[in-house]
Amino acid sequence: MNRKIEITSDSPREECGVIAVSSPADDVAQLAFFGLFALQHRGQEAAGIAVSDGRQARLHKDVGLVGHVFTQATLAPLVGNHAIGHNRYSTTGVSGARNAQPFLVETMNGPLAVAHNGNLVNAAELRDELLGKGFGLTASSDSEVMTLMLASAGGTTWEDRLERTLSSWRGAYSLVVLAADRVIAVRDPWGFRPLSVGRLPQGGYAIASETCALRTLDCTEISEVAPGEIVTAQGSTLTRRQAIAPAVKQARCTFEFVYFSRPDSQWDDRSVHLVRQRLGEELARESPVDADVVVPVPDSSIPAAVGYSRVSGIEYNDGFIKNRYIGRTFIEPTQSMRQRGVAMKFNALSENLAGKRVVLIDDSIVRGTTAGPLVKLLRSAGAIEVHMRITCPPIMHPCHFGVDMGHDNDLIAARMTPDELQEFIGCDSIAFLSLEAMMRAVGRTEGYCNSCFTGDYPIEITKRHSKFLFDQVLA
Amino acid sequence: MTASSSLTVLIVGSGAREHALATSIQKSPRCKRLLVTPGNGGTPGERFGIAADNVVELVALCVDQKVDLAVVGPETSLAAGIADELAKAGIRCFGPNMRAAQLETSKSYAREVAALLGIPGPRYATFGAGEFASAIRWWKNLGTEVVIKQSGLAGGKGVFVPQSEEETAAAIEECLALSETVIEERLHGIECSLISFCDGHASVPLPLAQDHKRIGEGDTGLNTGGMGAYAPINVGLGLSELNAQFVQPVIAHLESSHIPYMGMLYAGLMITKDGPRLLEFNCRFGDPETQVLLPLLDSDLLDIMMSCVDGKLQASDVKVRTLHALGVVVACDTYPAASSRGAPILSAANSTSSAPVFHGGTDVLDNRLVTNGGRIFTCVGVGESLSEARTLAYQNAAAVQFSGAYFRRDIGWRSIGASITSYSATGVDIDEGTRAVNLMKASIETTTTAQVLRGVGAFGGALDVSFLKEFDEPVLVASTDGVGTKVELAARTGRVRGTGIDIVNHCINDVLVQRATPLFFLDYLASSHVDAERVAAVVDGMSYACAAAGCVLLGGETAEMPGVYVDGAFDIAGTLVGVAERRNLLPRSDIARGDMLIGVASNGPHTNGYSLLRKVFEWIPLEATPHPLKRNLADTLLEPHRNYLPVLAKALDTECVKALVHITGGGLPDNIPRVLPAGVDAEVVLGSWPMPPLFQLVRQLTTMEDVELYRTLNMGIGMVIIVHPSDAAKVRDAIDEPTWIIGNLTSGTQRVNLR
Repeated sequence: MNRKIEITSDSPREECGVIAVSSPADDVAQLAFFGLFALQHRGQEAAGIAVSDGRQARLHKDVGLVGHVFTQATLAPLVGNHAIGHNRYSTTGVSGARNAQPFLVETMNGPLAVAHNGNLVNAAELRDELLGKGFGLTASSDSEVMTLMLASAGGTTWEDRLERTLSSWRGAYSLVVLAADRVIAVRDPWGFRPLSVGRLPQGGYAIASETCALRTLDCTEISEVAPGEIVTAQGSTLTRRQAIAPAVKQARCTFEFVYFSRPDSQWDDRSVHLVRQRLGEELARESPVDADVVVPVPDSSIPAAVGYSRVSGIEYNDGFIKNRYIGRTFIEPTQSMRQRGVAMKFNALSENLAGKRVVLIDDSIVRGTTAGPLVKLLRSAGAIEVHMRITCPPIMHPCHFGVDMGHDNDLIAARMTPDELQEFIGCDSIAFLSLEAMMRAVGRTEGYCNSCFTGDYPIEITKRHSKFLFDQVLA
Repeated sequence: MTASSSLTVLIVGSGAREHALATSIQKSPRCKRLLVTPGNGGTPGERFGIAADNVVELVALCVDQKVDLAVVGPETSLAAGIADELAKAGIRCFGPNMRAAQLETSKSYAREVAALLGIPGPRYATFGAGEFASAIRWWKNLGTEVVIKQSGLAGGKGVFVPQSEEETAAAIEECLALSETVIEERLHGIECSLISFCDGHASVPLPLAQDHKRIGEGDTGLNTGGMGAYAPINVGLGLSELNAQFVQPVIAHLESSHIPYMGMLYAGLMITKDGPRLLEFNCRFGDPETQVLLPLLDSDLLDIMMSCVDGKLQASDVKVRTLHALGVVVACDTYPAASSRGAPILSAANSTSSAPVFHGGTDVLDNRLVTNGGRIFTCVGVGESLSEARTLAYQNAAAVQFSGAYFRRDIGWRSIGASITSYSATGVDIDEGTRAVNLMKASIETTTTAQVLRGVGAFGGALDVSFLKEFDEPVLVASTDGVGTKVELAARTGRVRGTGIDIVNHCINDVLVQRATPLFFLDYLASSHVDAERVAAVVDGMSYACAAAGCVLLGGETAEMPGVYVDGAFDIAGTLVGVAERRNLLPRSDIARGDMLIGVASNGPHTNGYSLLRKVFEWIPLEATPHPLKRNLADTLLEPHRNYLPVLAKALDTECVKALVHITGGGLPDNIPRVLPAGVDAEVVLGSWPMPPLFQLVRQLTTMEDVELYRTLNMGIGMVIIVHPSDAAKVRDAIDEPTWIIGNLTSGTQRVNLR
């Protein structure tokens, strides 16, 4: 099995992005394409779009970036007024086209396609139930399980079937569904992952994981799909209904603010970019240090570095220039190759670093594999001191709600104390942002899931399921 | 007592009342820590799981958590003696002790105290359990309807209001089988709640509130704990006077009996036509009254309560905002018979400071909000007017979502009637109507003839028609009409007298075409708002036109219809009855091919086509005089409808007129066929008469086909006379103004062809 490994980033990997479009104008496939493009950062492994023309649905999906998977030739046959799309990174199942989404099946109530962002914690039980009923499965992700459960649910409309099935799903899901004549979106009652809806300028509606995609499509009247809400778009009609009671204690993923979402997205009435700046400001208040320059790890840590600089008074400057087009490479995963991988992605600007004491701002540390090489790069460029400042608390527990942090053993902060970490990375000091300060930057005291920091999970995790369990049967 | 600035407060209870108390207390800067037990799914603060009547554990909790003040909501806790036990443990408690709470727990005690203090109440008698016979006898002797109350606590529900003798007997039996019972004379009037803060010797009231005890709309169905409330309610009596009459004497009496009353005292009052009467006492905050009263409180509730506990309450401590609040209880549909537990609540609406949503029977199960009781939420609205408060409350009530949600849609319905002191409040001014009639009398009298026996002011006009005996075969001819949307132009310009002339002349012409002479006229004049001068002007026009035609204005109706007509609008309709000699009736039966059409001029659109005209001239001021008009638009359009009676009298006398056609709605094409016999068409030659300037202008301005235009407007011809060709000249000579041959009759199918 070829296993592609992202070796140039240590941040937690986002699972997926979803988009849905329903419009009386007939370029929905193009709209879905541009929406996925804006959500590329949420998953770079595979992309897919399914379109329905009122009777029939057509699908195209493959591994690769959105721009590679979709060309004039592959978009042309996708004709219709309703579309859903998906960008994938895997949390369950091996990478590969088989697990790419959306899943499209033919049911007795017409075509059904499903695309999912999130993770069900009881997927293993649901899977076993389906297999027990005689269903055959072709893929190894819980998204296929959800599709088959929907297809076999009782009810007169797809919204009914969704409503009846929702209560058996425990976990995070921002889901978009394509039926013959509509698109439907639903968000889990805890609100883990984002999902918003907006009105298209030419009539019709779009639903996407992040508002940046909706704004790329020039949407107005943007609002969140509420936790537990089912939103249906049929051309120029939008209907919304509360299908399941929302959780009293909500569990939005704080990481969306720390790292995943694009800075131009809005969530929970907050601008991601502004929250990141505030993270940097809080970090400066909590963990100041004497230094000459503040540099970010581009691009995600730039706003935080700006905020750190503003509060600390230390000059902000670029320390690294990123090679944007390095993409993914097929490389053997040795330690030296990983380190060379970092060097291939970044160059350090000695003109801004030589002879200086540097504060290096990074959004998070997961495996701790890239921090060391980055610090080395700075020192080779002439930095005399490197102080690492991280815009979130140490990640000590795995996420079960849609973020790939690897196994427990991968989480370096769970294995090492801050002092050991400092030595391992090779910096002069390291400080993480406290939980209280992080939530202050977000601007909320409750309604957020911080289980990867605290171990306090909003949903009880009863069974650990192996990511590769499913792949043991089908090669 | 220190002026402590950081208090730990415990609220005991689980209803929407306690949620409201918690919300208010939490706002106080003196509240450092707020605890609630058992609380519900929405109460703020730290929640504990101790039941409200578990006195022992409650006291332990207070000691444990170093509670500075316990506020007790439910009467069950107070009756169980929580205030006494807390006092023993040295914990301050806001709420009366067990002996003082007897005012609620023992209805007979309450009645005795009230009687002793001379507090007016219904006649009553108390009967011990089992005393059926004496109870029945007393009731029969009283001779009025009664209310039957079980003496113990019944959660506000142990009150029976029987609707018949059978029900009364049954209720008496039922209650006496269970406990001591009070039977009271049933009072009628406005029920309201007076709730006062008491500190043992002084009492300060909150605004009066009105509760809605019945489950059903229109105040029907079973009794409940309360389905809604609003405050303040105006009963024409001062709040401090009521407090001085009903609450303060009780407080003073209890103090002197060494049972100081500290807490809330609730006096349920009935404002009868003989004055206010006491119905009952409760020893706690009311539910749902509390939910609407606390949002109106301007002062710090915690400060007030601490003053009460310290015995230092003053009237100035209780400041109230001059706003209105209304609360709607959303219950489960089996309430009050049964409650709902565990049903998921999909939406708890949107609680804001001017529209708070208080949780009652809710709980959190597995991180979800679920139902847990009978009355689930109280949705409150606060506003400058009761109407505004009501709108806000109902918006949230409608937004609440759970299976089987029910609420009354009529909370506050009696308040509208209470504020209506005269009919004029609803927009109808009878006095102005009367004044209009007086102004009219003079002009109407100009139409009176010797035959009028009863005219204006009578229920029906009476006309002596014995002169009809002089006819060989008298035939009554009647017509009823309106003047179309010309009234809108008239109202807009203020020139209304012409419409009076219009309506009469239109009707005169309609009977004229059958060769009838007018006898009497009746009118209906309706407007959004009666303006005596305006009405008189219209009637003056009618009188003038009637008099000119020798017609009696026998009667009319002036209606004021706010809400039916837009502001400033009016409408008129008229009925005219005329008489004709049968042999003279027109049209004659000898109309045939070859007959000629003589056109008589109109002096404007008369009373038809005004919707088109108003639309065409919508954006030009009526003072303008666009070419080719000779007078401005207002004058041109408002020219009254001609009366053709004098014009055509001599022509009719020639006996050569076969038919007369009044050109009204439908124009030439739709009116001429009304006199055509089968097999005959009329051909009208366009251009055979001069088109007046107004019609020329309209024709230029619109792109209507001629056929359509001629159906909408008369285009210059008001009457058409059908004559034998040889009679044409004679008839035309008998008319003292220019006329034109505008066409003739051909064979066809009773249609009009425009050429």
